[in-house]
Amino acid sequence: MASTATATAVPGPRLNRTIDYRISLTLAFIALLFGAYGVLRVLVFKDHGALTSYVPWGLWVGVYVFLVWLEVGMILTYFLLRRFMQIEGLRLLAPVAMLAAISALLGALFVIGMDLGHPFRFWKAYLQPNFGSLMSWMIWLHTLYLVILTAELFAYFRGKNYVDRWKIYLNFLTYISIPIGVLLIAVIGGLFGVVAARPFWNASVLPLMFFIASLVAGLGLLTLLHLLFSPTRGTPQYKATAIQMARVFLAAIIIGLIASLANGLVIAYPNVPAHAEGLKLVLFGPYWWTIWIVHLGIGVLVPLLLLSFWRTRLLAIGAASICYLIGFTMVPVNIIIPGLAYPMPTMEGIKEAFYHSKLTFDYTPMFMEWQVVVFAVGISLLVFTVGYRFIVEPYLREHH
Amino acid sequence: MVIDLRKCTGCNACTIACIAENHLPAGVVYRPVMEEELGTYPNVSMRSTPRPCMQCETAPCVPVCPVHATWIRPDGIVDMDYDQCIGCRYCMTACPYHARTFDFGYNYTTGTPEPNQPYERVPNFEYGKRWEQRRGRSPTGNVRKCHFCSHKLDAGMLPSCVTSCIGYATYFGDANDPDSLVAELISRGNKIRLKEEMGTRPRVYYLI
Repeated sequence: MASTATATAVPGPRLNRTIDYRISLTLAFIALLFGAYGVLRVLVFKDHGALTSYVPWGLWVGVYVFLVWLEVGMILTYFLLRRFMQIEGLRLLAPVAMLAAISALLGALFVIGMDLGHPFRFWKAYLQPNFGSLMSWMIWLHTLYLVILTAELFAYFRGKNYVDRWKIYLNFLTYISIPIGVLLIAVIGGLFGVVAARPFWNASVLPLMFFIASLVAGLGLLTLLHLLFSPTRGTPQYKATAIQMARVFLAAIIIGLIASLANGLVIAYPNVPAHAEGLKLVLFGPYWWTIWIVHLGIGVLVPLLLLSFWRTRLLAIGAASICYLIGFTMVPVNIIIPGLAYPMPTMEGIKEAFYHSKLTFDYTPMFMEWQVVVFAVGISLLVFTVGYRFIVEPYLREHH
Repeated sequence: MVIDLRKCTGCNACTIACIAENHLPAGVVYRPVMEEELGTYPNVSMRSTPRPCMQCETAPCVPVCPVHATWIRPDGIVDMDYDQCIGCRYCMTACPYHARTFDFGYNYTTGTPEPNQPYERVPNFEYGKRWEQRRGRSPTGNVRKCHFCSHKLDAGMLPSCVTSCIGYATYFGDANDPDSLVAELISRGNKIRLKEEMGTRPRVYYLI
């Protein structure tokens, strides 16, 4: 392992500096410590927070979808920017993007594992799968994606010579990771889209919307990773790449906004209660502020302004990426919960048919649910920090 | 199953009988009775609609299960294997009748000074097996649903909701047997099925 003195001497990557590494590690442990009690409640006391029998999926599934969007979208956008836009400044960012994707993936798998009623029976999905269920496809594709990313990251761990020697296979892995990533997003979109019982979800356009969302969210994170971890830091190429990415990011946000608007209008215009009720809950329900303030305000309007007027300033690009990512956390939650939080037409009477706190359509995530999410973020941060230190940093040092 | 809504008084005896038979814990219900107010004052009337599992012929909850934990028996009952269920709850989202509930492991005495009373630990015998209500052990952490008391049917008895109905509003039998009472009842014009437009082909008919 590299000594601290050697690490400090190399310019560029952020975590080279021991202080950054320590801060990042400390933050990860604080997150794990903060979330530990929530995880304990799930594993020992089998507590599922505020979930009910009528709103069986909530915050955890939302966070899972968000993290999958990030992990797949980042790799996809990296591939698109490198192959089609030939952005050379991103060349050395590949291991960073891979590591970030794996970190998000592990966080996602953890949080969805916590959502299971019997988390330790997860192996049944591998050994006794029902491939007629999209959930089985999701589990298998996600695992395959993890294997591919791990194999690629392992090559970076072995060093530059290893990467050069096995380049052809690594390229092959990269190429197959693209269709698998696209398929994974389509399957997750389809997983919700095929549920005819939930009119708010039941739309053929949902996989496409998930794909667009994944690309935009992934691009936001990739831009941030470039700003923070690019080995070209301090060079003119670094700034030029950032500005190029900012332009694409701006276009992607606008495309995403138009797609969401079109989808929303299609649902709202006929005003069929079964479909429109979910949208009304999103826009005017008790959590209206999550869409209007967090998503559209912080997540869309602020980045749009920043990228429209100050896209040549690195600080503005970074702020836009962060705002977008913060705002975007609310999107999957605002798709999943409103789709469940009202009784189906002709079944309205079910609301008052039997009283219990677990037989209600009201759902507000409990503190312990947030704790589990923070724990998952802690896992992601820990994997990223340690991975950066021991895989990415030595690899980039070889290039220097 | 045929339920005559004209005879249903909304007494909830079926709901209670079901809970007693299957030892359902707090927060789990197989056969709630939905109350609906029809018309506007002063011309109003009440309609009570018991809602068991519809045991759909094309059950949307079955194909979505990632681990084959739920299936349709040859006699049409949608069955479950608690030991196979991983508790992902995808089937719950797929059911248009909200007929599946999740066993969160709650007791009736949860939050009281003396929780987990012995009567709450009495096992049930769903699907012909012995199930004890203990945290972390099935059926806790599983999705649960009405199964027409299949353990009783297998022993030649009627479901508890049928035998407990004070108004004789619930009928049970083989709809494919032309001589059966249920076959005669569903051949009439006043029968409906819930959300028939979804094509799930429920095996529960309502007479209105």
